[in-house]
Amino acid sequence: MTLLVGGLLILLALGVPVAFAMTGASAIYVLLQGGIPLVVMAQRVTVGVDSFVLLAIPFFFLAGELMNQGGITRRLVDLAQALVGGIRGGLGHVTVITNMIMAGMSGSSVADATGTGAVLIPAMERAGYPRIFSAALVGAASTIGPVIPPSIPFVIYGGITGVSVGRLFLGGIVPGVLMGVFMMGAVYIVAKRRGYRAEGWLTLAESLRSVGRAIPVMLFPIIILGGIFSGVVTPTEAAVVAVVYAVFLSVLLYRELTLRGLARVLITVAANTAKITFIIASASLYGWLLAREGAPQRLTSFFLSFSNEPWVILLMVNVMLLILGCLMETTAILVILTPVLMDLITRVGIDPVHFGVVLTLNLMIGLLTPPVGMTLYVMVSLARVSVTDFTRECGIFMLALLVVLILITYVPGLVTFLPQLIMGK
Amino acid sequence: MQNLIDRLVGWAVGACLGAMTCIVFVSVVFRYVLNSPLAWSEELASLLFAWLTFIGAYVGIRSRSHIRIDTLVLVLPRAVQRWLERLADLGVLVLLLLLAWQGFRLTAATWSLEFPAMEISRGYLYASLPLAACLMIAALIFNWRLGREAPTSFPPEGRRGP
Repeated sequence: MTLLVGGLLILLALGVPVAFAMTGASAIYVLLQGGIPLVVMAQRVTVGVDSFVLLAIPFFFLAGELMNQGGITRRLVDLAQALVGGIRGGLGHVTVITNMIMAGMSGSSVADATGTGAVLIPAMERAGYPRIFSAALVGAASTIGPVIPPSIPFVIYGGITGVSVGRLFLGGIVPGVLMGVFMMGAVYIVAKRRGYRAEGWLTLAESLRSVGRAIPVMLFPIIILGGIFSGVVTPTEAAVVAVVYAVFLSVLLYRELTLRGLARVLITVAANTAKITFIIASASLYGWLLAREGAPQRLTSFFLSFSNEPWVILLMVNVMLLILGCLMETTAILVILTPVLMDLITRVGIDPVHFGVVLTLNLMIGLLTPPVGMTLYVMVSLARVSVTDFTRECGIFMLALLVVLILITYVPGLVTFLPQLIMGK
Repeated sequence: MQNLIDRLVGWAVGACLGAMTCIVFVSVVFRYVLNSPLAWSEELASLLFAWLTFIGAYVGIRSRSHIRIDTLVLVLPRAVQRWLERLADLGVLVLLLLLAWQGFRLTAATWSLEFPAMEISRGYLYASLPLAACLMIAALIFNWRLGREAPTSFPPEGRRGP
């Protein structure tokens, strides 16, 4: 166990890519330990991605990228402008609302951040907002994406634990909306303190035109979520239907994407998908060895030695995840720790759907924190601001996210109510 | 040579993703519109997904864009960083050789097993890892020959996973 965990940490610290660090640590362990046939390594890695549930990852990713390239994101921004542009800090609220609607279509925070950032950061700069504010806000707001369904982390969590992805999706709705509401509150506070003004409401005719143009786009969440929750399609199939609809809108209806552009999007998304799923494949080997070593039981008894109250356990797990979220990559934490933590969670009687949503929201905060935060780096390079400034500016938004995290951790009903209402106990 | 392989791999993973999309969409249509579900669609789409994952990892090596934690490494002097990077590459090379060897053994051992619905050998699944491992080894060699120059063809900068 020391060899397995220590080996991984050393390899990661030396800058070995996460996927190779996991297979490497596993290989060293298998070679030194003996008793495990080497061929098992190849087998575990391969079956780790031979999974129909995980297929939803490239599809949701592809849908998000098509929306960005096909002019769909821009139409959403126009819609949000019509809805909330007149509130103080107007474009800030537009950013939050756009991300909330985007969240109902794509499953990936980084795709949302690049897409909305590319449209909104220049627009906010033209309207006189400091670039650092826009960058921090777009980054923070993009974390709503994976909590409001559909969501790539929920798919991964469901794939690992066997918890229904549909239930997780339903469980994310209320927490995601709360994130949006708290974030808009934070925007309002900052806007008031710094004297940002509203952009002014659009005229009725303009508003109606924006809403009208967004109607085909607004069918997205209805198709995806309606399809999943009514049980007509699985999440993976819903993701594919979203991709096909995005192709229809961007290539045939809006004509903003050529066939050549479509091929380029396919190649880019495939290459980027592989970076995530290769980590999942490696983690399937590494996690299997951890389980074989009895890591879940040891972690469980470690936590239970402090307390067996669910609220104390949740507090300790949350703090542990927040610290890990600063230091490690989100997908890696999700795939390594989920199986290890499940034993503990079920033992103290925490609902796995509730825990899945808490875990995801927690890890989303990790996307924004240095030294290891994907969204942080995407925004820093997109907006050309410094990591330190970004982190300082992001503070109030992270505080809003933390408040929501505490709320949903200790009021499980916020998560579990909808799934139980719609899909039964 | 490397440009040709880069391009072929790019097309291959793009084609995998395109094919996966079509297969799953067609299977939804067959089930709900034509009322005759396809038995093989999930198996085939998952098989392509495994190929996409492993072949796609070649791209990550060529463009040095696999997700890694460089916070600690970045505080070291440049020369040490470069030295560490070579050492890491060497370690990865050994690991890939091991995976390729064991992957081929696994493929050979499972060649007589079949997917229940597709009725083709399960070896088509297990062959993805060793073949891709060979490609990744090639990627490492290309990188060494080109020095620290970044490849030009793909992927577009600034985009990373979810």
